[in-house]
Amino acid sequence: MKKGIVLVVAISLFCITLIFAQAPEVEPEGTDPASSEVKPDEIARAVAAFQEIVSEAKKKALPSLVFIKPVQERLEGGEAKRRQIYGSGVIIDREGHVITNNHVAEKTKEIRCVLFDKSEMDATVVGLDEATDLAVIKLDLSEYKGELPVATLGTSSMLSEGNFVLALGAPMGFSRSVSLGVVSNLERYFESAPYTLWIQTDAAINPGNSGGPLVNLKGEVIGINSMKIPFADNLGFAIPVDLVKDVVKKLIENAAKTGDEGKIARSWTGIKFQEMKDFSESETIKGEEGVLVGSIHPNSPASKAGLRPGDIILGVNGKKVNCIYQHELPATQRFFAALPLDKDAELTVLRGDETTKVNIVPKIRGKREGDEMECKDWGMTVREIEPLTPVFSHFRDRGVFVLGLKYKGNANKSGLQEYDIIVKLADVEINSLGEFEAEYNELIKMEKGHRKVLVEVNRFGYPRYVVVDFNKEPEEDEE
Amino acid sequence: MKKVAIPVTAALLCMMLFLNGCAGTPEEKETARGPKQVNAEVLELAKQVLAVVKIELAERDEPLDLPGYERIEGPRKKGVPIELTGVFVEGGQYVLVPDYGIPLDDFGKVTVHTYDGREYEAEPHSYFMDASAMLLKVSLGENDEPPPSVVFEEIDPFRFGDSYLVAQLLEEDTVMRVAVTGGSVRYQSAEGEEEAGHFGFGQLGALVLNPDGKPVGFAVSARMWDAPQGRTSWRGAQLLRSQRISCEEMKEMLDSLAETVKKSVIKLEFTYRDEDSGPSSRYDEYGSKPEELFGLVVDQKGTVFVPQDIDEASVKCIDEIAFRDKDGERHVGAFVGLSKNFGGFVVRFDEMPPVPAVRISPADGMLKGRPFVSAHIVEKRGETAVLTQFNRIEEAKRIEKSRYNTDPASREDAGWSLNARLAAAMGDLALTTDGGLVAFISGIKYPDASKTGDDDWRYRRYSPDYGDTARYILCSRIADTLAGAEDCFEEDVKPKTKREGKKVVWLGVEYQGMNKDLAEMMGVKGPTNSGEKGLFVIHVYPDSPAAKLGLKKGDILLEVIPEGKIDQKKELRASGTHSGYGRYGPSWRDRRNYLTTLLTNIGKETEIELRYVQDKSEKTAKITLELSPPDFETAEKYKDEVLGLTVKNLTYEVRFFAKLNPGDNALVVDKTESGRPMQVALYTKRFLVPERFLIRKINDVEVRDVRHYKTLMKQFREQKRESLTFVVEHMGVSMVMEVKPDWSEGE
Repeated sequence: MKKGIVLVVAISLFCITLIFAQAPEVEPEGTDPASSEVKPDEIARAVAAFQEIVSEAKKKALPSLVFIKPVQERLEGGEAKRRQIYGSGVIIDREGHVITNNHVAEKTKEIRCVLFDKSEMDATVVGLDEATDLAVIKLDLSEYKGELPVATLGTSSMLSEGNFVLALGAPMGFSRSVSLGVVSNLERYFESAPYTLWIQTDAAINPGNSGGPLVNLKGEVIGINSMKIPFADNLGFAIPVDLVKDVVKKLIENAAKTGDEGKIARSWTGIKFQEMKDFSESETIKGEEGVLVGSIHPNSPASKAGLRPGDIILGVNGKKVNCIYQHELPATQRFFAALPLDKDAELTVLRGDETTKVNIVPKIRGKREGDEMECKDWGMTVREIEPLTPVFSHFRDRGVFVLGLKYKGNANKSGLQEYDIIVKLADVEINSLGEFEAEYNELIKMEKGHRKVLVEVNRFGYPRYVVVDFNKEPEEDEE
Repeated sequence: MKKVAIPVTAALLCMMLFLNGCAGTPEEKETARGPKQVNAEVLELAKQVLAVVKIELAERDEPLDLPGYERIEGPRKKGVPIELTGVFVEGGQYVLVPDYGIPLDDFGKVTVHTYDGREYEAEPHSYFMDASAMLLKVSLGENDEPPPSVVFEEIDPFRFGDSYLVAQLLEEDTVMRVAVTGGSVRYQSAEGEEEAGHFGFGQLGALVLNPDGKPVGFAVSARMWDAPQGRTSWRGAQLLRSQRISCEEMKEMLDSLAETVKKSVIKLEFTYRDEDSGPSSRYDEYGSKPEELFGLVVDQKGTVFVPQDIDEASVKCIDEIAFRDKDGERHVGAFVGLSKNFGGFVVRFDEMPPVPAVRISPADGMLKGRPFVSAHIVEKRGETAVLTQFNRIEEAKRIEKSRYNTDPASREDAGWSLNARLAAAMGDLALTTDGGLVAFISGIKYPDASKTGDDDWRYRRYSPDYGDTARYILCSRIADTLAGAEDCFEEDVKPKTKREGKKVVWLGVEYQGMNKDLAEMMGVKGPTNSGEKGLFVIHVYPDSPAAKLGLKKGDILLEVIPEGKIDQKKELRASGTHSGYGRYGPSWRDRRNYLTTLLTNIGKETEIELRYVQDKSEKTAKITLELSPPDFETAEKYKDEVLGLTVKNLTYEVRFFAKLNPGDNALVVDKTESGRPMQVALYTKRFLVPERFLIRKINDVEVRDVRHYKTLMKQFREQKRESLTFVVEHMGVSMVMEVKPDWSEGE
């Protein structure tokens, strides 16, 4: 808030300075009325008008802001540890659905929310989408009295750089904060969010702002604040509302249909796309149209179809595909993600000078981060390897790896290390978290005094044998 | 050879015997005149004809750089003369003394002292060709009486068992004493000596007399340390009739030979690569890396022979061998080979300026008693100097090639072991008096010489070079070596490129260390001594010795016994295993590890016995060790200046780590240069791993190997390509990149 005011004052002063710098010496008689431009009182009026606009926008949007206080349970430290985090959200309907970030709502044991009117209630997770870092939670309105303020979702397609925006949220837990900035850029891309073309803003965004709305001067939500560049100033990023609307709708629908936590099914071809831009001077790749195949995931539909890095996909099912610049990647990737699952898609592929048609059958896209499990007796936590898990999936495309170890735990003392991929427990090959859990549960039933098991792991590509001795009882945490 | 000790100790022992008198057989006592009478006559003669010669040493600016020269320099420094004992001969005109090996230029004032206190001056006159003795000319004034001299009687030579007397004059604390001792003949004379005999212990420069007290000869050389009690050689009447060479002639001969040899000597300069030569024995670590050695030009084809040993570690590190000709121009040569039989090696220069080759004498032997000229090569103030000395073979023995091998066939002689009178250093030459190179000092290499302990893996070295026993290698026997014949040289001892020097001997496994729990779990507590020893096999590389042996994951390697020698068995144990974590994330493990180092130290082509556990049962297998195929460290590589990267061929362990299929082709990028085209392209594409990634394709061509890469780049240069499209890969994820080559660099 402070920053916003400072900004306004600064701009005003700047304008005022400019005006005075231009104005000629005022002469009492014989002066041309057209020579002097803006009068001081006009400036004051302009500033006041602007302030009014900002206030109106704030009035419209702020009531729908939610201060979210989830208690997350994370397993990175070798044991399940709960901690309180802060985030923000925005109410989108009377039922109490709130949009926030996936990284705010995931792995939560409980979610406590505080509304703008300071009323508190719990919320439950409706749906999560890790790929776009979006989530929907639902407020428990059973005790709520009054009318729930609902935000207006605008559109991000009309945005332009320099537009004023307000970021609402709870930076560092300072709830109900407003900051003012402009749209810095509309074409940001990060590999970790393949379907998002981010809005960059210099409105102050800090940890705690995650999930909160980015609002235009009409008070409409045009983005969901999610990210900042660490150690940088004024480099914040928001998910454009057009994408948010689409994801949220699907999450709610899916949750309603399955009765379970909502998720989005996307198609996966196994192609890692690259923009064509760099290859304008290439003599083997013509950089004018299509999208470049950068990498093919092993055992994927693309590998089965025989696609290769360097191939150019010109079209799909007759429809042209173009991805010349990096900022066109999200749209292209969304396009491929929307292909019908398990159905033939015909790709027009340019390889060298030859154009061919290649059939591909997209499969369901998996997760990057697998499910996790705590192993108290061993002082260890594991996470399932998904095909999309980077690095680990190269060494072994399924199974579990050691996510964390307790320092004094049995696993650590026995010589297991973080990131060891568990290949075999005793003589049982582990191909999934389920198999691991089953075998582990059998092992901890072993007779005390004989609790030793031979574990085969894959440590950074090489097999290794470790005997885990878990005869010792796990220590209680010292508080 | 240190003959300094002999006269002194001889003198001391003499004193002991002096009191005992001499021995004589009971029969002789009866037939000859009584011992007492003989002794009296001998004493009288001795007092008259014996002399103590004191040779003062002339001043020198600096000592001569000759081996053994300390025995000259020592007295000079102390200001004391060298004392020899001799005898007046030829009517008192000369004094006969043993040749102590004093260089002619070192002769200062020479004085001769008699028992009764007379003193004469003398000067070196001549040397005997066939005996280590010389004549000093006594300076007699016109009116001076010549001193009484001895005349050697011409009699039958001694027979084995005969007794004899020796008489010598000694000065102790300015008092002259005559010592007379005796003994019996214990050895028959060796071939080549006339009227010579070997006694039991005797003295140098003593008068030799028969039991009747008749002077028969002069003791010219003695060897204290020869079993069982030392030996002395003496010369009789024939000596004075034998060939002599005047001092002037001697000097002329020595100088001219020095000049001749010098023409064929070149100074070789060695430079070495500045890093370690890979796994090696303890000895190799301390490679001496000589920087300068003298070589002899032996033919007109640029062959240079260096009569010096050089250790294998140094050879492997040799970067360049060069010499400067008389015009100062530098020539670079190539290492041909290190002799496997003696200490010497051959270098060849393709472009050799005309340097006269040394003339090699065809003499097939240097027989005992024969004179020769020793040449010692030194460098003095940047100038090569050849120091020559008149020398003689005192002992000649045939050498058995393999002392420790009981196989008769291998006991053929490897030449002669020759011991000369004067001290010599390794690399000294032996020339005939007319300038032919006969032999040089070296040491013999025994193929299966003593290997002690764990560290002596291939360091077969000389028979011990104890003190005086320098060995001469006859040039006539090493013609093959001088011609550069491959089989004369030690296998695989050549300067290595850094890459080659790192080759390892492999079994073809990755392993981890053993511990108590693991041993118990695997049921191998016994064989591994509760996890104390043993290497757990975690991977077997295909087509490796381990694979051929049928080793598999889970086997435990216990011991390695080289060549069936139980006393050299090595128990395998590893403390910790290095992970392959590189600078930018996980990477393949270096193939240089405890096991490969151990096997490399044992040596390729060595047969070993491997003891291991498989499926809970102990097994043994015989394997002949072999070098591994190229690995990342030794792979062929190429530094591309155009793109600023270094590529290497794919090797087996990289293939395993990168999970490539057997038919997959790629190159490994070892490193990329900052700011150069490849790294610029990588960072532009946010490919943040600038080393240890793969290149799969360039401009849609799958790159097979380094040679193929070079060919492609050459083509691209000719085609003046402005941009190259690369497909790179890391950990299974690939990326297409455009790289703009800088053709102004490299070629």
